[in-house]
Amino acid sequence: MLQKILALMAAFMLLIVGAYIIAIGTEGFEVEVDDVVPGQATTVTIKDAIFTQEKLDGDHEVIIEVGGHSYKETLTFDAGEASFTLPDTINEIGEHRVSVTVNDRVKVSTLNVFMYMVTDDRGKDVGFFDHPQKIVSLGKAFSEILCELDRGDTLAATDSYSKELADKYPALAEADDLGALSSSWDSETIAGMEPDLVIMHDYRWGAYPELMEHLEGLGVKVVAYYPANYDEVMDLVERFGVLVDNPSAASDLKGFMDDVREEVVNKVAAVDEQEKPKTYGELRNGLTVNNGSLLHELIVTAGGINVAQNDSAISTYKIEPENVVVLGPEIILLEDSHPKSSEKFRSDYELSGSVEIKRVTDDYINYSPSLAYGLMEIAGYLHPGIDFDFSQTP
Amino acid sequence: MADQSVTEEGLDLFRSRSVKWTTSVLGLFAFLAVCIMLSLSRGSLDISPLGIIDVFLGGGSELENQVIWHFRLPRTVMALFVGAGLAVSGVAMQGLFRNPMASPFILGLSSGAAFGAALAMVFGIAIMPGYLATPSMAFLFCLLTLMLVYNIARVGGKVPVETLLLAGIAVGAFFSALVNLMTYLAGDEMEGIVFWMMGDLTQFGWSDVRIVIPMVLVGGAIIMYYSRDLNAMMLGDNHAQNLGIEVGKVRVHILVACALSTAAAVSFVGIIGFVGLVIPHVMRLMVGPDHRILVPTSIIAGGAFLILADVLARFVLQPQVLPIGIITALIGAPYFVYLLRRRRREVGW
Repeated sequence: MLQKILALMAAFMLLIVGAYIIAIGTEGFEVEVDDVVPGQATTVTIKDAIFTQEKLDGDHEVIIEVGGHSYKETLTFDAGEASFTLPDTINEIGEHRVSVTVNDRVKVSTLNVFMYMVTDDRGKDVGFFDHPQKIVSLGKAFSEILCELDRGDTLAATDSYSKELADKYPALAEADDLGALSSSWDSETIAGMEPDLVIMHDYRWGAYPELMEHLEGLGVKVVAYYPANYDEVMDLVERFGVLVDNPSAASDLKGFMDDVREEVVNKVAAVDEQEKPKTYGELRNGLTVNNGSLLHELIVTAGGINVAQNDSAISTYKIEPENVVVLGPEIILLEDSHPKSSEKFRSDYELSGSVEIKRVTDDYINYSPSLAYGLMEIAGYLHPGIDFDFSQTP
Repeated sequence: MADQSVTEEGLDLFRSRSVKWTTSVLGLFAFLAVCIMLSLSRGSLDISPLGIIDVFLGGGSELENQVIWHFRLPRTVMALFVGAGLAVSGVAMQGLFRNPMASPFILGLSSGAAFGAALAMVFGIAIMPGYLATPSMAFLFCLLTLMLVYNIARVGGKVPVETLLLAGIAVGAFFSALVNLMTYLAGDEMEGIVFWMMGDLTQFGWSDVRIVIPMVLVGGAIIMYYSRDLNAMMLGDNHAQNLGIEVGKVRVHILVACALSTAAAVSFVGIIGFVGLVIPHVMRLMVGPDHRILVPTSIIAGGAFLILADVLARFVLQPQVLPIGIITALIGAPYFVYLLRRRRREVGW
């Protein structure tokens, strides 16, 4: 009995495999067409199907039909693959049918002609038929940039941290709250909102990679960014200008950030190295800042010396408490929401009265244009005697 | 003649045991002294042993005084008492439940205390004001956990050891889940708690040490007081009752003492594993299963071990400091496995 069942199962499997070989093998080839923007050339790649690998090698006459045009070429296939570049004649935004005929067999594919395309920090090209009108932002910095570029009204939903900016940007009050942690963001809920775009951090940890994959699997457009410093935030602002169709506002915002930094750098350049204030920075989670962290960059740019800087590759770390005293800082910068009050911090570390403790506005230490305000604030703390001119502030 | 020989044999045995116990205690005190000296002298500012003595005598620079009195000494004292508290709880529970697996963690006491402490730290819920807010909540939930576990495990007026351990694991898992839920819901608010949950010896001062010392001293003293009863209870409840021990009362007293010591440790330093499990086993190998010597040696060794672990936590990734719970687990777990494999018979379970 068992033998009969096994034989039947084997026969069934053979049938499935055979049908698959016939289905795929007779098709003979596959077609891939790169997405484009109007007026750009695109490449049609023709590949041998899996079970007929390299059967197409050699010269073949290929007919490609797209957008009412027909192209007849003799292509040389090498290792079962050949490419043909369509001339830049496709100017109509939308999906175009591409029909490819090789050896009298026809294969149909699609050519997407987008209004514009952007490349995110994953190196992924994402195309748009129109500017996104319904955006989900999963990063406070991204929400801030969108609002600064007058696109707050496009925000359909955000993470909880973005909602903290609702007082400054009323549009954020209208957006749905998806929760604070990446693990609380549900891909099906987000896809159910039918957004034109989801913007999120390009983090390789936590729920981020899986969420990106799930959203894209559900047909949602995702762009992911990972700015790491002041320069990259300015670059991001410019890229957002293209993304949401307000390049002039983006250019102004970027210019403001650049002007603030230039003013600070020029003024503190006159300060002698020995005169630069010894500074210690600590974030609200109790971690000390090092190379690669925003607060460290702001301290150094504002003409301070970060006493806790070291050669390790870790941007924030838990410092041995006695080091805070042994390193001899003159100014201590704490994020405003640091759980310890300045008085408690001073008494816990038994700091002398000559050590100044200053609070840095939380929202300023973020990968957003607010960094410029953070730089202004810290420069003022470190060099109260310098008269910075920030009159260009928008 | 035969009786005299037996008496002399007994006296010899008593003398040799006394010598062994005295040697062990003195050796452990010497080890503890070395650990304390290491902890006080090593750091971002190296201070020689003579320099430390100078500071204690009122000399030394201002910075040396600040580093020793304000940072290293309270930290060393805290490590000493927390290690001692966890070890004494572990040894008492292993004896009480006649089970080598028993420890404050297995019975869910640490998770219960952690939940109480987290409630105080994150939401400001407290039954006592000021500095006592966190430890009192930790102690309250430690006791509640204990009562819960004890009542779940009680069957017909008896508390079988197996049921007690299983109930402890279940209740511990429940409170751990509640702490995780708080972490999940509170987001940023819990960032500081993450370090505390891994065992953190960096965030406290003398005011905290002043609370931990009496809690551990009282807990340790109760367990020391009942060390002879623990010996009898190791042979079974019936045997202990025949010797006139009120098993139920003694058990409750010892468990409350364990809760006190555990709450003291957890509320200030967080969750530190393996001290309560490993130290009693190591001491049992060294001095034998008699609780009259096992309890005090475990107290000294637990304190010394945690001080040493703290020294390592400060130096492994200098200038960063590692959560001490990572060090105790990294040292404790492999050493425990080594003990199990190489000297399983000698452990005596």
